[in-house]
Amino acid sequence: MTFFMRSRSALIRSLVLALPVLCALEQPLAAATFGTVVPIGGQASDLALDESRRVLYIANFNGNRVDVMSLDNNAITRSIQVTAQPSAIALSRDNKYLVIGHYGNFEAARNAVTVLNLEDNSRRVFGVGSSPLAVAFTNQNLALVVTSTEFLLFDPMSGQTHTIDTVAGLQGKTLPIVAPANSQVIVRAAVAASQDGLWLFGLTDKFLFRYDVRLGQLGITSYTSSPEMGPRTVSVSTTGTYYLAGWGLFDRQGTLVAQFPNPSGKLDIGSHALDLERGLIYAQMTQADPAATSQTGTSTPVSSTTPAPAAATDSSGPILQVVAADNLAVLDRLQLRENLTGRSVLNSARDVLYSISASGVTIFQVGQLAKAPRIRSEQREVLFQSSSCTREQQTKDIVISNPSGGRVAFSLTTSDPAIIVTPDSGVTPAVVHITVNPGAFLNAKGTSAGYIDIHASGAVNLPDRIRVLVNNREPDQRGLIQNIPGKLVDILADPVRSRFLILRQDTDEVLVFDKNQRQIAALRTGNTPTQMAITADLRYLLVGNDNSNIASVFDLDTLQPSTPVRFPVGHYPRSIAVSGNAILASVRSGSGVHKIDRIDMASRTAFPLPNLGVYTNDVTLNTGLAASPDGSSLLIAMSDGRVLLYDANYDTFVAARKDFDKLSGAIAASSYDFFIVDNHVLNSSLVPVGTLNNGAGTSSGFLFVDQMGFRSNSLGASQAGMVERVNLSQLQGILPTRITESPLTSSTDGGFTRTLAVLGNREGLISLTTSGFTVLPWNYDAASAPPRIDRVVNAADLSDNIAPGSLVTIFGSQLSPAPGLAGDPLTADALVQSCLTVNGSLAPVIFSSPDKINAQIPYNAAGSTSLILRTPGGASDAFRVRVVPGAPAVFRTGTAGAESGIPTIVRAANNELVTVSNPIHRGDDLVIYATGLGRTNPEVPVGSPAPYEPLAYAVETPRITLGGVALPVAFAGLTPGLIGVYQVNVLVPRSVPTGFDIPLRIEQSTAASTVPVRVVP
Amino acid sequence: MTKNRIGRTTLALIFLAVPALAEEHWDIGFAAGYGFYKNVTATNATGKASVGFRPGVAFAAHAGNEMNRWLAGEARYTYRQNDAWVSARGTEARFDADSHILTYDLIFHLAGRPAHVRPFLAAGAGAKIYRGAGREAAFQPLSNFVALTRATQAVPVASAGGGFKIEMNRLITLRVEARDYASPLPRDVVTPVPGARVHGWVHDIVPMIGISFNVGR
Repeated sequence: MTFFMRSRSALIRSLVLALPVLCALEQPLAAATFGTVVPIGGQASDLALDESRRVLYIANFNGNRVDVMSLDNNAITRSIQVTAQPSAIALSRDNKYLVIGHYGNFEAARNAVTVLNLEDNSRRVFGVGSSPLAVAFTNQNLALVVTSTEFLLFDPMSGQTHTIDTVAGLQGKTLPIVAPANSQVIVRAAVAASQDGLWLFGLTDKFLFRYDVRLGQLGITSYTSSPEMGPRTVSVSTTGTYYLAGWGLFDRQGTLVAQFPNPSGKLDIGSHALDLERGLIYAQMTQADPAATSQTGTSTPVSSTTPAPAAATDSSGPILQVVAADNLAVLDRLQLRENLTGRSVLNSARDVLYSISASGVTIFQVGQLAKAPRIRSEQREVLFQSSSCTREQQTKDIVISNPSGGRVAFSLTTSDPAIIVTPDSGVTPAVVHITVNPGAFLNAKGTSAGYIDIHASGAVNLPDRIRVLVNNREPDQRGLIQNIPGKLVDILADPVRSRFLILRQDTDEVLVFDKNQRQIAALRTGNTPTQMAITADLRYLLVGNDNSNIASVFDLDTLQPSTPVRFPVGHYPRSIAVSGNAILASVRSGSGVHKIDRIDMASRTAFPLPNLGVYTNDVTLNTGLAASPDGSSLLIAMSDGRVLLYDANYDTFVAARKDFDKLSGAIAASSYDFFIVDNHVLNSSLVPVGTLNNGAGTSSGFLFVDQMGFRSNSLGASQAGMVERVNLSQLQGILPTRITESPLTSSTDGGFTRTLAVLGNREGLISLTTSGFTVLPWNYDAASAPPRIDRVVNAADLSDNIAPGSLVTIFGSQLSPAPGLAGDPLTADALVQSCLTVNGSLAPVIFSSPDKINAQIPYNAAGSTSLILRTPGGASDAFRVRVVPGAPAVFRTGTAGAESGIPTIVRAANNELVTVSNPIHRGDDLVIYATGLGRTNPEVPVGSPAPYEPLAYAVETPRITLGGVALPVAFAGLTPGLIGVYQVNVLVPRSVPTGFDIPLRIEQSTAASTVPVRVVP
Repeated sequence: MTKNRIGRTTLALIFLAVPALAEEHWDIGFAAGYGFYKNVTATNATGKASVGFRPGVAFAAHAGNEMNRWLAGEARYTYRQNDAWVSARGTEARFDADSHILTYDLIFHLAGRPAHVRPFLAAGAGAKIYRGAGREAAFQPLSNFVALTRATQAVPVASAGGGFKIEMNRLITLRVEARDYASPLPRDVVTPVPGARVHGWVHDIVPMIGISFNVGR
């Protein structure tokens, strides 16, 4: 082969290898978007899908025409000139007529309805008295035309019109709700029908309405409030059981099941389509500036001290959200080419979505979404933990992938230079190493958070950020962290079932854990769940939702959803508490006057209390409720400093005070007439009787257990947390103890927090903390003295022979805060908190108990060597041992029947230990297990199991004799799969002497070890 | 040491057999039976244990001649199936074992030929080869007394016994007899461990029934 041929071949190989990367990089550098825009040369105001003719009719408001787009090639194939300003269109159910409403802008002469006969292309124009705003067909092939003043039923065949009601008449009818402002005119409307045509739902600028076709009843279901119900569009499920109107998801009765959080209410931007069969909603929803809308939607009572934004820095462009149809939890976020501006319709196969957009129509192949290039990290959070024992650089892996399976180029940026990603760019799927040097976070004695942003111009979605948590702890900090990604806002123990429940707000779920901290279920709540409560019969779990007019209800035995509690229109339950008499909820009210509602579990409804005893039912947005464990009282605390006490025995409010300018933080009620708000202690008249130590940070949680209290405070977002027992009679904290990371505290806009719960049958405490939750044993504050080392010997024969790599046993006192073997989480944490250094290097601890530790001497140890043990109680004095290159010692760990301490020498003939009854025979093969054979080739990292391939041979082969006769050594080195355990394989010659106590001697370097064995012919 | 002992025993049997070969009356025969051991006692600091062998079947073959009407001599081989055994305080351990016995016995008839039933007494000596054949294990109960070991060992044996010869016809004689083979404990097979002591001899008492074929009458 010539040089040229070789070069050409190499070039081809290189191109083949590089092709996938080149293909990935070939994707446009501008951000990819989802959907295809079809401009119409005007402003689309409505559309109607005619699948029988394979066309989409688009009302071109400014062009005074209806554009017809072919569904086959997504091109405008023709335009139908119509009367001026077509504002609404609808296709009759027999696909024969296209009804077009013409918005006359209050010029009566221009208000009209055009009927296009699609079969013979004839048209008729009918004048109407007021401006047509929206139109939809019933199953009777009649068009419901919503005008600015009337609701008309229009027969396209005959042209006859029947007035169902007027706007004024409809508002004047007796309703269970009161109209905020009466008016005879509406200026904006949208209406849509269920697929069966039996239910029509509509939205106007003043109210929402429902038309029951079978009963011919038109009625208002609710009035719109601030913000306006934008976007001005309605989507209805196939059978009309649910519909979306503006930013709300409603059931047929008009209950707001969920709403998009923090909506801007913009009327002219956004759209949505409901695919209940697939459990999905496609929506573009603009959000308001949170700072400007604290009273309108989504402020939450609890937030992480280091909140993780839901996604990377939002693109400035429009976003199509794919959300769950039951609670609007966001599943995916797709980038749009341009804003959607009105109605969206799905085809009958529900795989193509047509939406009015700024240029005309945008077509989304939602059925092909699974094949669209997307990007995500399979791990949303990564937690690094370090302590005074583990300051080394740590690396963890994440996987960046394309859920659709294709290759997408990406790059990664970090928020903190101490977080290093390798590689920082690539093509999916890719494993990325995240490396963190804990030393960079030494000033934080808790958990610091950083972020990794994923950028992929070829992906149509906006990926979530990856939160990188780095926990640094001192030896005295207690608790075992369990990382739970997301925004956790409440915790509640279910003592009957030995479970605890955590509310995860970002995914709208209740996470159910057993007492072993294993998650056993995830229950889907309404949107933006805020607080939980368990009914007095301990059967049901109630969950308040800040963006739903319902409280979710779950059966705690079956962990299945039960009928939710419906709240009055505009009432969003935020905090719920159960007494022995009443179940009360503080609700955010759309009217701006927030209330206390009472829940009736029998009817699963709630109603506002007419008053709070002698007090007006007017509470602040951030109002927290806490029930005493015996259900005798409910404490209500408000962010403006007011507190109220509901007495279940008298079913009334018996106390109300305002001794503070503002309140937030922990809230709790005891059965012994003590109440806690923030750091304040109140008596049964809610008179402040004392303050718990204010200098201990921000209050987070308070938990009453009998007459004792537990209190958790945050010392700073990235600092340690603090937990202490509280003696209420003396108002004193007992043994304040630092915990591994900060407990969660209320967000800056106030709010009340519950972050502590009892684990199991008082086996420990669970605290919501920065990374998830932290498990504390019940005796977390037990005193711990510094460790003391008395003796260090090799773990084989307990002699002083110690070599590099030897397993050693350390005898002493206070060596470990908890006995046990590795595997148990709390013991594992104790092991994490304890470390042994040998000449300053970490030595792996294999077993830990208060008076004994087994560990491995590092392979680089030599000569006079210092051992120091660190535990949560402190550091031991240095203990010096002499480490020699080779110090073999045969393990005396063998057992045979009742016998123990037998040298671990195994006859290969029967794979049993050599004993008096299993003597060595001449010609036997033996395996001698020992430690202390020193360094190996290849070297094996300390604390790591020895490899199977290649075998790790002892650098210096030991000399073995039996009764003075040398035994040929077949292998001497580390036993594969074990840490620090060596084996020597030898053959017994026929010349060895026989007898009971024949000395088997292992010599290496200057050390030797001898064990007596029985030898027979 | 053991080989020398076997050699000396074999020579003695040959010398005893030479006069017999000169006589006319020969017989050869076979026998079977079931043997029982009177075992020995092992002691250590914790107490006592019975040590030895378990009962088992026996098969024998012999060849002999009558030197006169009262005295006869015969060479005899006996196979014994006898597991090694140790027992104390309700605990026992067994170990597969057997033995091979080679003896030369003098037979003293109490009734002279040609009596139909001829009681006789027998005494002799020879060698007994014990063979431990079990599977050794790291744990053996009562290993603080003896270790039952996979090994082969020959020990001297003394034989004594008696029985009846019943002449069935001119060629066939029925023999009913019993022998006691007394030997020292084979310490390579049943090995007293350091700290344990064994006292006494092992007696292997073997009743048998057999037939012999008369040759040269």
